Amino acid sequence: MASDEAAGQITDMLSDGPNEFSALQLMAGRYRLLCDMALLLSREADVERLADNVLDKITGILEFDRCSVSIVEASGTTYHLRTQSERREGLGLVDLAEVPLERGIAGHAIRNRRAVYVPDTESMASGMGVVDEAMDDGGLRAVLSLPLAAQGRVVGALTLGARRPDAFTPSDIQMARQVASCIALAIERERGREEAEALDKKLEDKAHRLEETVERLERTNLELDTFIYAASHDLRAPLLSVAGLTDLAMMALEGGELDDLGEVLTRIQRNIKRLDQLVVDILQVSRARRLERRHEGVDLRQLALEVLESLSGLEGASDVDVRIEVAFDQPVSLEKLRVRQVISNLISNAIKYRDPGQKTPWVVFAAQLDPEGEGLSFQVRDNGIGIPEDQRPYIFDLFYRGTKRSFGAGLGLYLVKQHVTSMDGEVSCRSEDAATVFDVRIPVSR
Amino acid sequence: MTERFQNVVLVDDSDDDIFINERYLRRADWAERVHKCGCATELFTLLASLDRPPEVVFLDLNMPQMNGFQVLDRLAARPELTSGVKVVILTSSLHQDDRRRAESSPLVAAYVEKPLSVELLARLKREKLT
Repeated sequence: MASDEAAGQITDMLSDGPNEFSALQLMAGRYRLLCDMALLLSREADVERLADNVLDKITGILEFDRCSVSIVEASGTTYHLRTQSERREGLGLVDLAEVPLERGIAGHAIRNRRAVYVPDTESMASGMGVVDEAMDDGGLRAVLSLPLAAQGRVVGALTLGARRPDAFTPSDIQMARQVASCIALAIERERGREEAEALDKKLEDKAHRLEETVERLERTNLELDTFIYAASHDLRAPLLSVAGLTDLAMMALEGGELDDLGEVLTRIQRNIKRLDQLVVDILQVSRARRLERRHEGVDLRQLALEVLESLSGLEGASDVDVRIEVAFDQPVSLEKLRVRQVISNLISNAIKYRDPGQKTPWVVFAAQLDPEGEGLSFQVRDNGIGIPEDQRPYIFDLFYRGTKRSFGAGLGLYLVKQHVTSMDGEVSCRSEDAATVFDVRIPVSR
Repeated sequence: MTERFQNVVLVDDSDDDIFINERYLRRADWAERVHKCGCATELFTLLASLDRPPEVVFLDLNMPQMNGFQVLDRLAARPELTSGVKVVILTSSLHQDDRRRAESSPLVAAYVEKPLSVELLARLKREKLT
């Protein structure tokens, strides 16, 4: 289209005769510059540098005293100005200024999607703020603003000002339209590129998150495999014992050896109880994994007392002196179910592993809040049979059972660790003056 | 009637399995004396206290603190305690790797899956231990 118009203009000029030759030369020169500018725009990626370079080129194509390229903000409500000052005095660029779309001639062109030409600002009704702050040096008379439109979108405006009235001829305005069209396309292209980049980033983030999910799933899978391996063995062992015991019972019956029978049956009962407890524990582990994070205000002393109450039926509980020492009164925001299970497992372990040789077996549950209130610490101490130092790294493992004497599935401490970890806390075990101490620390939100 | 062994040892952390296996050994008329150990430490204490090594040791694989394989390694390192000893691995493990690993030890004469039975004990004696 541009070349058609150019051809038309040139034809018109030629028909005017030889004295229009210089005008023709000038026209050719302008178009050459226009081509240069278009080429430049097609290469330049940075929009700000674009504006600078464009202003540079426009200087040769058109005669003006002030020129600005305005770009509409992504929000669509303001536009930025980039102004070139006096052409003859060299290029002086003004910093970007933000102007609301309602103001200025450029805003007008953008909003109405139409070129605006004010041949003489002095003849306009006063009170009509025509010229933008950056353009306005008090001396501009002719002002032309063209919207930069591409693909049906207006992305900004090209504004030219001159100190003399009626400075812009229709030919100039035509030229200016060409320039505006080039700039608009370049900006559109650049915007498209920015959008593509933003999309790329979004995709990258998404891929990253997916990767994390896959890793988490793989870890879970591995945990599950380990769990199944350990559980199947631990389920099988008591079953095999029951098989053997039942066999012995049959043989005892056949042989009429009834005194043996009593003991055999008791052992069968014990194994069945153990199996059942194991199944219950496995279910607890599975539930613990799926427990939703629910925080509520917890009175820790009250919670500890409830746990004690629930453990009162435990074998040996009446022999052990359990003390609660919670150093604070205020409720703390916690995942109540998890904390409850942690305290319960630790205290019940301490009761189970009491030292039969001790005259006064005791367990102490003590809790403190950080001075800033962002962390809760509690300890379960006991004077029981203790845990040998070389075993301490393994005690939180799945199904770990310390000594021949340990009964129970070995899931209690594993569960403790699972719960504490999912609350972003830490649990550890140490000995202190012939006592065993379990330390738990959980961050709490205010 | 095959001869009884003088000393046979049962090594298992499970009280019930020791009870069961001892009963089976008694019914199968296997040994003069059956010794019971709940862990590796008790085994080594026992071996040190006997005037001569036992003929057969039934060894469980899955024990806390020191498992059956570790015990085998320790035994191999103490030939004075184990000369002539035949170890029978008696386990609830289903893993073929465990079988392979156990049978690779020169001390191991047989690898048996729990539970024992009188027939099994008879076969063991016939095929593996004499």
